[in-house]
Amino acid sequence: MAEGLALEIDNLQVAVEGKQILRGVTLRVGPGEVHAVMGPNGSGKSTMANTLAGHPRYEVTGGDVRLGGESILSLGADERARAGLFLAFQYPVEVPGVKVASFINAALKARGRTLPFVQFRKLLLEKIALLEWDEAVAARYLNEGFSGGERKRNEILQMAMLEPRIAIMDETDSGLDVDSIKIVSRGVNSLRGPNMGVLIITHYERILRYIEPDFVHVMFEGRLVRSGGPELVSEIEKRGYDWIRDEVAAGLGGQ
Amino acid sequence: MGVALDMQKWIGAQREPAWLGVRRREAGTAEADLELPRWDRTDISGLDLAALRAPGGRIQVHLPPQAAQAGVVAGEVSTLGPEHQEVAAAEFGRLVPVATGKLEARNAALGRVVLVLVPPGVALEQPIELVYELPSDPGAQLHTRTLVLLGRGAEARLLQRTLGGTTRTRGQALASAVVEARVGDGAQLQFMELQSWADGVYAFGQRTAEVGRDARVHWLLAELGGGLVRSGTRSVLGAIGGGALSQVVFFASGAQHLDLLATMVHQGQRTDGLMLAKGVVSGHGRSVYRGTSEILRGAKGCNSQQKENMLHLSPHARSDAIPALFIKENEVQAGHAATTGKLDEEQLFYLASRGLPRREAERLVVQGFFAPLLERIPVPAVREALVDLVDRKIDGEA
Repeated sequence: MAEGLALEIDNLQVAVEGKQILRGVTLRVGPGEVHAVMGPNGSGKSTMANTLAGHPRYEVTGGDVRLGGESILSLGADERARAGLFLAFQYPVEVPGVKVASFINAALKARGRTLPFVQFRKLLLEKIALLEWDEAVAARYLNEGFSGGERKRNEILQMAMLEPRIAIMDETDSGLDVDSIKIVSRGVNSLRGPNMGVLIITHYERILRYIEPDFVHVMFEGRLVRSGGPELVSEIEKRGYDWIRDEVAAGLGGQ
Repeated sequence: MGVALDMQKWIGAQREPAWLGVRRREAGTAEADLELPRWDRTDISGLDLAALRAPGGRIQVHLPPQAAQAGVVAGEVSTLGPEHQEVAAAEFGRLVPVATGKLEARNAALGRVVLVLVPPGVALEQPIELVYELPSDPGAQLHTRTLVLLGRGAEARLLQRTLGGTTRTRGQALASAVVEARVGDGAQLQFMELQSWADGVYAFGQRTAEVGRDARVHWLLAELGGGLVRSGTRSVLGAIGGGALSQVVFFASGAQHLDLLATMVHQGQRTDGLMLAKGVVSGHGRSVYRGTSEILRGAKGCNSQQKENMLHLSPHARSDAIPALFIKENEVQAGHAATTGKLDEEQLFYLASRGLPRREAERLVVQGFFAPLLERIPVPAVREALVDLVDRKIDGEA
């Protein structure tokens, strides 16, 4: 493994309830790099995100995933998280009765990072302010009664507090208005740096106007069929996904 | 096994007000004639009365300084002056009659009696705390009867902590806690109980409040301990505009059996009753929750509602919710809602994805399930004690 290589996805194949969804995905996300995986609905993007995070419903039928050179496929979701992986959920679930602050504190403790209360509080309020949010959110129950935008903001708040090595953002922009996308993007941009790799999964190019990726990949029918730089985003913006469909059908696809 | 307790002899040896001796002897006679009750779904035939020694245990009454200055009286009747005996004698057995069953009679015959008097118009912020602790060896028994009187317009909080007892043999330790509360017109009583008897204890609780005109009782109970528990509240809403709120959290783990009752008796017009229960069952734990609305003739315009939410942590645990409605009046409202669920795997995955091990994630979900009720407990130390108890029960299932 190359020194410091953060995430390596190697010919990953995944089935859900016996149906093959990912058919061999290979991708390397180095430290500090921002990658975008774009693709039409049903192409396998969210399957990839959930598989990386260790959701038990997704069955890996081949390939490997390494974080810092170590395979994580035999690890549970909690162990992967403690190893530095973070998934910002497309649909964050409600956990009634569990306050945002105590949840984040518990997550930090699970990583062996126990902060004195005053310091924890200060850090949390800083990050809440970064997301232009009301500090009252700290005492609210996790995602309960949150609007779509608040849920996504809450994901980025957790990401900011937990400081992962690899952050996967699954359709973070879906259902958000432009202002919310801007706020969320500013939050993510402020976290960018040599210690964190980011994998943005999205159907639309909108969020990529605010978080500029270093590399862009297009997923289609469970494979990455195009990889390139940011120029690929403008191409998809102009032409949609149909041209890729046509090219793949004509046998011009492949990695 | 030792010689069975001679109840009448024990009563004769007590140094206490004469009226109490008389009532005890009557109750002792009734106890000897009565059989142990047979309840649907709860079998107490494992209770070995012959194994029980003379009653023992520790009773503490903490009266906040402010309360004493305001003329509040709280203490065991045997320690109170003659001026308080008449009222104690009048209340004893009035709301929980001594001869309704063997256990009620035993409680009256052998029970320590605590009187709490809050004069009219006195409002207490700090709770009056009562601690009833059973010795930790087999053969122990402790019975308590708490008499509470709130004068017109008074406001008070009581916190009763019931704890202790053996963890070894089941059915050879017995605790019973009776509460008889009279809430005067316009008065407000909040009665909190943190029940954490050890898991070898058979425990019985009967708490009845008589609620005056425009008065309110708020029961806030955590039933966490005991091997076999049968425990309930009864709110008698006899006057116009009276209200009662019964909130119960419970957790049956291991081999615990909890049989809990909440009853609202509506007699007065426009009376309002709400029964809320949240329970968790784990291991081979078993719970029965019986919410009953009795709407009597004359209770026009009353509202009686109940809601139960159950969470199952184990496929071997079982819970039954048994709502009952008896309505003898028109123009009333009554309703019932219940849910039962397992731990939600999507919630657990979400928590795990932040690094929380499975058990830690389960702990958060369970504490979260109880949180809306626990957050209403006004004493931080009690709230924390409760959270700790729940944590320990979750850990006990490891």
